[in-house]
Amino acid sequence: MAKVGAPEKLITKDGLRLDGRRLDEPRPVKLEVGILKRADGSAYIEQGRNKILAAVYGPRELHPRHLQKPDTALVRCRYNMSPFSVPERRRPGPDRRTIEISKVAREAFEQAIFAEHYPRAGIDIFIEVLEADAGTRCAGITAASLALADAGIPMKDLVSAIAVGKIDGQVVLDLTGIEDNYGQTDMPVAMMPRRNEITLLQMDGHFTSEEFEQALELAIKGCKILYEKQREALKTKYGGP
Amino acid sequence: MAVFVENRSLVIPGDLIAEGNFKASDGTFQEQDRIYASVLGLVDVGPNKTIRVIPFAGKYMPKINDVVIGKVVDLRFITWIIDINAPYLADLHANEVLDRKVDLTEIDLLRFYDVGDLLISKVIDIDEEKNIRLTTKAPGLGKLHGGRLVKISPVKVPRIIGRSGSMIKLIKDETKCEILASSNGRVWIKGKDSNLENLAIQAILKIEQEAHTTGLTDRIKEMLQKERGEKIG
Amino acid sequence: MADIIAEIKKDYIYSLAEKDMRVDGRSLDQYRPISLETGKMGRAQGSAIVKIGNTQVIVGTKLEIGEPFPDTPNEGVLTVNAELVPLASPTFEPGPPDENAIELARVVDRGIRESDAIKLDNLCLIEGEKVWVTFVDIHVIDHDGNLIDASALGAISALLNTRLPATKVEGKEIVIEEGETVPLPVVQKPVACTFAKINGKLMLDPSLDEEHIMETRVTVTTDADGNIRAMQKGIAGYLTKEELIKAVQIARERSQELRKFL
Repeated sequence: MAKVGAPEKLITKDGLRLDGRRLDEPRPVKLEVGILKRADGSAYIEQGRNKILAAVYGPRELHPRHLQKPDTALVRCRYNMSPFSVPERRRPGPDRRTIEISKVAREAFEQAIFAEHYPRAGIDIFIEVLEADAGTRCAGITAASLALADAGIPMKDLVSAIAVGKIDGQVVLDLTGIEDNYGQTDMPVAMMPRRNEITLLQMDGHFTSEEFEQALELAIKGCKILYEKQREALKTKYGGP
Repeated sequence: MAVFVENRSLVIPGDLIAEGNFKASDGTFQEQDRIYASVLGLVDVGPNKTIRVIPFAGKYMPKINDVVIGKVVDLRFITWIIDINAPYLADLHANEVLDRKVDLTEIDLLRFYDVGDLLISKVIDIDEEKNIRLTTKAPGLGKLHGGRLVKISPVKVPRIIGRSGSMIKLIKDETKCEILASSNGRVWIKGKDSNLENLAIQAILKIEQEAHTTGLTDRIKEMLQKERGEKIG
Repeated sequence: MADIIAEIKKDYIYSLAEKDMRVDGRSLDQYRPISLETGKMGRAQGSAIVKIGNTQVIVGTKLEIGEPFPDTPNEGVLTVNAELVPLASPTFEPGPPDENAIELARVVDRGIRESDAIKLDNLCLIEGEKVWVTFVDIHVIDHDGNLIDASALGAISALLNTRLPATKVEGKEIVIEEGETVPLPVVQKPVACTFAKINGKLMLDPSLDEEHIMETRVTVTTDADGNIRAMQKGIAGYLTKEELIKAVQIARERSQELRKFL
């Protein structure tokens, strides 16, 4: 089903994508750590046209009290898009999509955080999308992971995330908005790269089982590229070798 | 048995620090005989093979015997509720304040500690759910009168104190202020005049800012002596 | 008290898992007994009652004439909703859908949408102005685990059972021809297969006891040709690459059994 306004091809005849990238090449990424004053930890990511802020508060006293868990901290996550982040103004506040993304993003971190060190407390992760061009949940997770480290929250590993997909029948890394809209498949993946543990995986569209395996392999490779950039960003902020 | 990173080098959560017969301490976690960093910070391999990571950031987590500066936020029946700058409020029971039996018909507990008062207190108990109990019944504990309070990152407090108290002694000597640096990131300062208090605060904030640099003691000394010359003459 | 029981069960389920066994005697890749009835809801345009073990879900469809989305002016609209009604479980609370209900609806929605199960371009009445809007409402009435597979099976079944009123276009008006109906154009049969990971083992179709102690969860939605159309990892925990590949493989095989009910 061709959609209105679809470009004729998403991959040119020399095997490059509309923005000139190779199929397995992520968009340019810029990461900065510790950019907000009040938050306990914060980070900012630009990935292609995506511009996303992440902040962490906690561990802190959790209200309302009935949410407190006697043996562990409650990890909460709020993924939010600003009204001006997308072409048409978005109505402020949560919708079904952002509620689901908040849930799976939180679940991507629950495995990593040593929440049991902080019974009854709360750890809050906020992801604010300022400008969106596909892959915002993954970029948001990549940034939030740095915000958690910046807040001094103990973790098993960083969490790195990137989407893979299929455009013009080919498996590619890190879809742009156009590729997501007119491509066949989108599969966001988050993982703890040093442990090879996948903590978020969603997929919609069309993959054969061979394509799925190829895509998963590419997503893991992509997460590891992001991981190196996360390390660099932390070292830039805190110095050291 | 091997240590994979240099002592004092920067590690990131998940980094493998060492393998073999080591003791995993603060800021690390252990899987089989491997020790990994759990927080962002600097590796410190201690004399008895204890490995810890000195964090760059993080909230204050109380430990038994910590001396903390708390702020009274409430009085519930015969227990004061104290904000100790942790993820948990702490309890200060009247039995840990007064020597006699408490009869509420006879005494008004707010006469002892009122909401808003600053207390220097000691952590005496922490249970599994992190319910924290304090006492002020020992020499040196109790209400703080006057003075100024500075909040800094709790992980920077050891730097304010310095090796065997050298840094804080330097500031005390140069500013003639009374200074209490408590492990929960609160520093209380009381001096002869506000200029000297300001100078002490300036030094403390500079240490917090530059905590992970070397040669800090000399720079602080220089700064204190220079400023003192200018401000106080 | 409840926690103690959960702990005992956890030990038991774990130790069985080591031997590739389950509490109710199933193999790791086996569904509980499944039953499916369609067309029982007289006021709905299509409906299905699905039972997987003790889990019970009713799905009803409703059709309304509405406006298309601006970016798809010649396509009908599909809306999937799920309600976890309090009669289905002591843990379900009244009120607006929580994140679990929203996730359930969206996982089912993606399976149908991404497999192009409904020919939405056949549901356009007047381009850019009037189209059929298909509402799929999932009503969970007994929660004993694996709501996703039961809901997905119920949803596609209800859609296959849905009759669309016949219409004529007269100028700018849509005239419904009373009493005459045609089947909703459903051309694909997406089926969801959900696994719980317990003690490192993947268990198909987790029961509620298994869900309580699972380390993580993953759903694979396939079409009749064995292609993957949607996936969702749920709750905390992690999966390895090998586990995911295995889940996909089992889902491609076992989904054929579910499809026989359609």
